[in-house]
Amino acid sequence: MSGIIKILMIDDHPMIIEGYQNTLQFSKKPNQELLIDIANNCDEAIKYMDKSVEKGMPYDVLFVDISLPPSKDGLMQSGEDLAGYARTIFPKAKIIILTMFNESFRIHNIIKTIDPEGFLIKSDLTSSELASAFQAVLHNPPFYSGTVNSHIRKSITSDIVIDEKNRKILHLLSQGVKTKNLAAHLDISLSAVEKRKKQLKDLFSVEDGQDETLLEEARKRGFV
Amino acid sequence: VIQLNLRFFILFSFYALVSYSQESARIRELDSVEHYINKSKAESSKSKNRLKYAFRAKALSQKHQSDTLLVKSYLNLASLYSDSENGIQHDKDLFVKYSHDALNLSKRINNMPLLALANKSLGYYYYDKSVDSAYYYNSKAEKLYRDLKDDLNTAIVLYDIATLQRSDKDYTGSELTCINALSLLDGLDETKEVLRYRALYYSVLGLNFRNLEQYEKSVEYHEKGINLTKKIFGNSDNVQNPNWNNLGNTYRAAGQYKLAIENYNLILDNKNLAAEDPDMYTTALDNYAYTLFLSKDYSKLPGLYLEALKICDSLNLNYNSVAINKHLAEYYQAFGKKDSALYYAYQFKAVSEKYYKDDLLNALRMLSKLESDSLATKHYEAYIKLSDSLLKNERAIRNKFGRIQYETDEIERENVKIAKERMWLLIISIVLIIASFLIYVIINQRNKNKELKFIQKQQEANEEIYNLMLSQHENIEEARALEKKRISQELHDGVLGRLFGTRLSLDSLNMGTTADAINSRGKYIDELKTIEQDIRKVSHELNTDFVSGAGFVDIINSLIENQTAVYKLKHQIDHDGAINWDAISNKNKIHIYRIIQETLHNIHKHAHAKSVKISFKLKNNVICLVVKDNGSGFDVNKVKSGIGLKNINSRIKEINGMLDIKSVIGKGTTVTIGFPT
Repeated sequence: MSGIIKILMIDDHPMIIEGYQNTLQFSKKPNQELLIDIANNCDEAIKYMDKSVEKGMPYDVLFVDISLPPSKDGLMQSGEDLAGYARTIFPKAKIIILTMFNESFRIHNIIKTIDPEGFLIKSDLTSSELASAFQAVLHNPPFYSGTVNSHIRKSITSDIVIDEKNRKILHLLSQGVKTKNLAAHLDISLSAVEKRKKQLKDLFSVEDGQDETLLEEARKRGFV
Repeated sequence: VIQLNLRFFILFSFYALVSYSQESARIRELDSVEHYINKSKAESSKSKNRLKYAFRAKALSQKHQSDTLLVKSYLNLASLYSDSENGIQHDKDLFVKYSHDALNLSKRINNMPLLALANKSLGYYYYDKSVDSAYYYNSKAEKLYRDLKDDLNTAIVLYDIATLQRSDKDYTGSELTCINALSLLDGLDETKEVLRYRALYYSVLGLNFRNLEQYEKSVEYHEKGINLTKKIFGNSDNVQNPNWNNLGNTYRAAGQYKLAIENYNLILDNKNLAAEDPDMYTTALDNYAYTLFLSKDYSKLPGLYLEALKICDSLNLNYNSVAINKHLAEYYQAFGKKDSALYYAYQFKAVSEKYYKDDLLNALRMLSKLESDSLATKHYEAYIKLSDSLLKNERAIRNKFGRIQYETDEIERENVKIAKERMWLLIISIVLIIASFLIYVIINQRNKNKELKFIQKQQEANEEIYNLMLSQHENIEEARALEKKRISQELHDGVLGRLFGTRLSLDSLNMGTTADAINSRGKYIDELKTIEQDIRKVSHELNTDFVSGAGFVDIINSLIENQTAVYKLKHQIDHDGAINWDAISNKNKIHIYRIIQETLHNIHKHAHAKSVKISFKLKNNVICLVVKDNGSGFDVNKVKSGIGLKNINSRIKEINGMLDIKSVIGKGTTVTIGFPT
């Protein structure tokens, strides 16, 4: 891809955006010209996206951070929602998710709901990787960073299959949410939570029945 | 095994044999007690041995602890000492001792027949020694025998009573006793013993009627007695002599001298009587002679008198000589032989002084008539004096038996009353003891319950505070968790993001060598510095545990706020931040909490204060809690043991603290509590 590439970078840290810009400016192909818009929160991002649709100049690439301050009207809670919205209004745009989260559940969820062209974990991202990821997304998507790939591989190779709810249970447990509060988070009854937890413990063959052991096992196999 | 069994069997039979023989030896020895008693009583035994047997019987019954036999042995010993007839020296002290031993022991073992027997033998002993004692024991024995329905022994004892009454001139009383005894004897089988006693009673009745001058009746009873005696013994062996004599006396008193003489002759017909029974012989001879004198037949007089007197003097029968001397004096007086009359009258007086006062009275009257002048006056005065004293005595005696009987009954009634009173006293004291014991138990139980309730309440209160502290602790934990989350968020969102951005930028500028690039790198390195600062800040935040220790102070604050709000008090809290509450055990915290609560309660209840000041200060590792109010105050010396103060004191002791209360009436009270951290 050459010529003008319209880009929207969404991140609440100006420092990071600066990093992205620096990297892309240094690594862009000579024939590429980057037009970069910057949004620091959901409201700004929506504004830019709506504006580009109005102008008839849709973004080619969107850099979306997952953890963002929610929009004022509360419709957009995170980058995930923004990405979903971008998909509907820019069907052709390439979406690159850049996140600090490296938990299996979140990764799994993001791939499932957004299916981004690029998926980068900030903690193991280098500028060269970002540069090559950018090019790869433009020409040969998708591009997943190493951490994401290994997560995917782990959950694919594992013969354990768990549904969304159980995944969420594992995730919440790993966040330190107490069992009695799980029910409220998942909108199911406490006894159902207990049942599922027991199921999970059986699946991961946790013999001592401890939540910690369960989480440890799940982490080992890439479910958390 | 068989051998063993055999050996066991032999052993067993040996023991059985031994114990059997021991038992039979005991029975043999007990039997021998009776044997010895009988032997000591037997006339065939030598007097020397009698006491030996009696003491052996006593020793054996003591050895085998047979009380019944011991009583019998005592009675036997007493009877041996009762007179000198058996050749054993009469010993009053020993008799009394053994009799009373028998009396007491039989009373203790409640053996009524033996008790009656002991009384009877005592009565018998005193018969010729002390009329009162004799009457006392006899009437006791009578009562006991009556209770035992032993009619024969009742009648036997009554015989002594009847004769005692008679000798005290209570003829009517004696007559009644005799009739009573005879009716008892009528109900019994006619054994020789019963018949003998019936005859004796007839005789006594005959004598009584003579004294009462009912001669016909007297003759009737004497004849009944004579007939009965004849039926039992025949007329042989002088058995009828006393009866004949008595009948003769009655006839003589009735003036029927011929019939009297006939009876005396029946006695005197026995030519050997003077040798066989000189006592009876002289009595009968004297009576015979006196009857002759009364019937004015002087032919054989005074020879008969003199003969009788001679025998009396030779055999020392002093008593009989009384009557003879009297009759001789009368005889000589009748014939005017004054000297002889005086001689015998003085003899009469001399001898009678030893015996009956009645005879002495007669002697004195006789002498006052025989003598002349001053001597006559002297005798007459003596006569009057004696007569008066006798009269007085008689009067006193008249109802003596009735009185003794009555007094005995009285004493017994008194005893019963005392026994009853004692029983009541015993019952009342037992009831009182039980009641007081019960009251003690109840009070004790109540106190214990109170104490338990108090402890329970204390525990509940402690638990409440503990829960409060626990929930406070939970709150703190939650706050901690929140803070942790906040810091993590801050690290994640702030520091990490910026660090990432900086790294990314530096990474992209890494290869650049342009001045611009160098410049930019410098900018990012500065950025790293600010990030460094931020991290330091977060780290510092992590280091200062903003919640530590706040919990207890919060609890105390909320306690004080709530309480003062309820009590409508203004309050001021001054808390020394230097106090490390976390180092103080929960137990002590609870005590401190309760102390503050109690103190505030006291202030509300008693002080009528408007405001209260509470302060915690730390001085030399001692926490000083001062609670100061502006209430009415009180006298510290007077109020000491209120339950609230007691509570506070016990809690202060628990925390090794000390309490100081200063109060000024009208100004307020300051409570200072110090305890080590």
